[in-house]
Amino acid sequence: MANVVESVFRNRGARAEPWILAVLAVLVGVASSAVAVVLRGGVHLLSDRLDPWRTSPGGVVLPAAGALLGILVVRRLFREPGGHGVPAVLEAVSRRGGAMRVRSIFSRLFGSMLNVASGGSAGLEGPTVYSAAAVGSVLGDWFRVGDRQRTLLLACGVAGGIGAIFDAPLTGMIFSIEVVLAEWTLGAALPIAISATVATEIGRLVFGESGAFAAPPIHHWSTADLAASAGLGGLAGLLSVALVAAIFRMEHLCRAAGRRLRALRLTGACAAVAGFGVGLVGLYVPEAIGEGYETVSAIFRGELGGGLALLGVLVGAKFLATTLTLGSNAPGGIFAPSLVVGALLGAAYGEVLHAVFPAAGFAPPAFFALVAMAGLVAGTMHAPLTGILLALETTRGWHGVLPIILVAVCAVLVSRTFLRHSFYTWELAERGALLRPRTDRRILADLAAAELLDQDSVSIEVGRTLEDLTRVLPRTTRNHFAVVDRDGRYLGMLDLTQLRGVIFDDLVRRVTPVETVMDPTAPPIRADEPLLQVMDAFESSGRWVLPVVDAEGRFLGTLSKSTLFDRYRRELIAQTEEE
Amino acid sequence: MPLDLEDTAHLLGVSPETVRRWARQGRLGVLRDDRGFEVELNELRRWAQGHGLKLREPTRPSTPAAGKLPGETEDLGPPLSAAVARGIVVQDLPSASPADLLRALVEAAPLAEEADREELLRQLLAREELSSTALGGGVALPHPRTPSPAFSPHPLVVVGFPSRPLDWGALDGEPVHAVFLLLNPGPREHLRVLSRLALLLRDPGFLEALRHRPSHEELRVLVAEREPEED
Repeated sequence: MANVVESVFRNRGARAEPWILAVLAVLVGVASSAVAVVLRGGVHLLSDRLDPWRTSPGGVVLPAAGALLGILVVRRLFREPGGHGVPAVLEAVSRRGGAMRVRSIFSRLFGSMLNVASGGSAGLEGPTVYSAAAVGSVLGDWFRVGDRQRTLLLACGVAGGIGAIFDAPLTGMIFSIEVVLAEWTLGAALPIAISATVATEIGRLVFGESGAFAAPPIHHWSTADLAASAGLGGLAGLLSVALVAAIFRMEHLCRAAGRRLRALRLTGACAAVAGFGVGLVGLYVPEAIGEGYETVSAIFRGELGGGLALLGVLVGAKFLATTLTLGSNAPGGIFAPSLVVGALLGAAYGEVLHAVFPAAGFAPPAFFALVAMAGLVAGTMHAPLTGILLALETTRGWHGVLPIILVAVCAVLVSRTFLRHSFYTWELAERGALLRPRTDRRILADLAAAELLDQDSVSIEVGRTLEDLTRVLPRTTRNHFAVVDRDGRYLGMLDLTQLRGVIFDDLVRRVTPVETVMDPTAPPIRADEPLLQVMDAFESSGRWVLPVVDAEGRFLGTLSKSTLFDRYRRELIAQTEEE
Repeated sequence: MPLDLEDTAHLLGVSPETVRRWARQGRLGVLRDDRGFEVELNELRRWAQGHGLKLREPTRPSTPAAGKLPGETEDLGPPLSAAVARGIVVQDLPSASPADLLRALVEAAPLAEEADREELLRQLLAREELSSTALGGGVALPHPRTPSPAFSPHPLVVVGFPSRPLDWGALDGEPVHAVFLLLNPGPREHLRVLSRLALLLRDPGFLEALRHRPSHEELRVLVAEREPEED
């Protein structure tokens, strides 16, 4: 089978590719839905089993035990780095041509199941994204596709996983395109849509046709409600900034604590301590821990009594529990907590509106709870479309589309003012590892110095004279020559334009060895050096031609700015223009 | 501090026209009808950083007059004239062998206190070992194998006349009666001085004048009369 795919790619080329990818996308859709089914089914099963424990006196340590076990599963059993996994997926897309390992399919699947079912304040979409992405990537390897196709199949896995677990195919598609690929092309959209469709349908067959929440029965809102939503969007943006900042602060704290205290350096120790904190939060505010979707449903049904005071406490408690769970690197995602914090914020906002303007006839708090969910998700991820669609699809709240759009947009506007990067891209972008398609960094990262060598570079051995150089000149079009030692190691450069004054003087030419007039300060470039660094070398040395050497310092050829520009442009065209 | 079009273009390493286009396209700064282009330095820094561009040094490159170094009051003229002016002329050098002559010439050369004269002599001899620096026409141009600021931070020509012509392994076999010691901080300066000197050594009048062992003052005039202003 793999051979068939490979040979079709080879022989039919570009015209067959969309069709092959479509077929592979169906397979990835099936496989990624399986991931979602195992994860969602597993969490609910495990959660039900743990329920009697939760209310027992020892229940307070349950989240700690779950977080610790979850981390041990990920780090020790599967030997993978911790965290919620989405940055690792983005890095695979940015730096490794979408390559992921087989074990990545399973590590977070089981790790987060333990963590979330035992009460960790996190969601399943982070692990779903990670496992389903690995499924797509591994299937791509199976069929021996190229980096680009493998990355697309990885994105198909993400779309399928999200689609199946939330019964939200559009969210899956858009998340995949907006956050994972950052590439809006037809070639990417088609297979992703196919995978999302297949996976979501399988998810529906298994779990039934229901969104994550029952939509609030609100079918009417006024222009005043729409206007009020803009303010809510701003608040949602601020709260998402605070949430992301708090989680990073907590991560930082964990690392610092590990440096101070030996015991906290052990795998999962910090998560266990933080998990105990989550358990304590759960002791007083049980609604704040776990996935938290029941809390959202209760708000929508208007069953969450207690008014503004309780909502305030819940926002704080959920915020705290999420910070503890995700900040201590316990496996789990930020979608679910964002949705819950958003719903709580929105409900509180609605309560305040009704208290301040009792006669204005604003929509019920459940309406604002619904629209604020989009704001928090969009704000933490810097992904307005994903936020809008997630809120719409998980609540079936299509009648609220306008206020939802407005809230998401305002939230991202505010969030981007305070956060340079999103929750997912922060760490990658800060260390320069986030390479988005069609950007300068992407193209420079792909090109290697070895690809840009001038074909007919000329070197001349030390001890030779300018007279010897003139004998070479008629046979080359080059203006720059490398001086090398007897083993071919680079020593310096000769620039013909600078030799003009002496090279036409036959006496000087004969008595001038090349090393006396070479420029030994031209910095050699290593053949494996990334082009980004090469650009810096051109910039700082102010030269147009630089020598390229191997690991032993042997001269391989010259690299000129003009060749670089020519190849850069070809690379740009190859990477961006589509039929 | 608001920057104008030229300053911005210089900092970004592009032409002012490009900056004007960027402003028109709404990428950077503002174009005002009354005052033209304007952008705050801080804003430009942020913009450049956000786009992964490096800003250049804020000062525009100023090329000092060729023959005038910091600390020198007088403009010494084009490169070779300046290098000769900074040097000296040494008469009646020992002529038993090139090595003897070079040793005496290095001793007499007006080098900085910390310059390693022994090392310079070693390098000059190593260079002669490689191939003779005698061009023919009775002139030799000894210089270190690799130009280095360690011997002289600026181009320097020290001229020596041996007590009598001596064999220097010249291509034309003619004994050497004039020696130009060339000390330059880098290959670029070395090439510039060498090419200008080569030009002068094509001049029969100059060669003839060298046979009469001119003084430093006379030599400066001989060089200044013949050296072209432009490269």
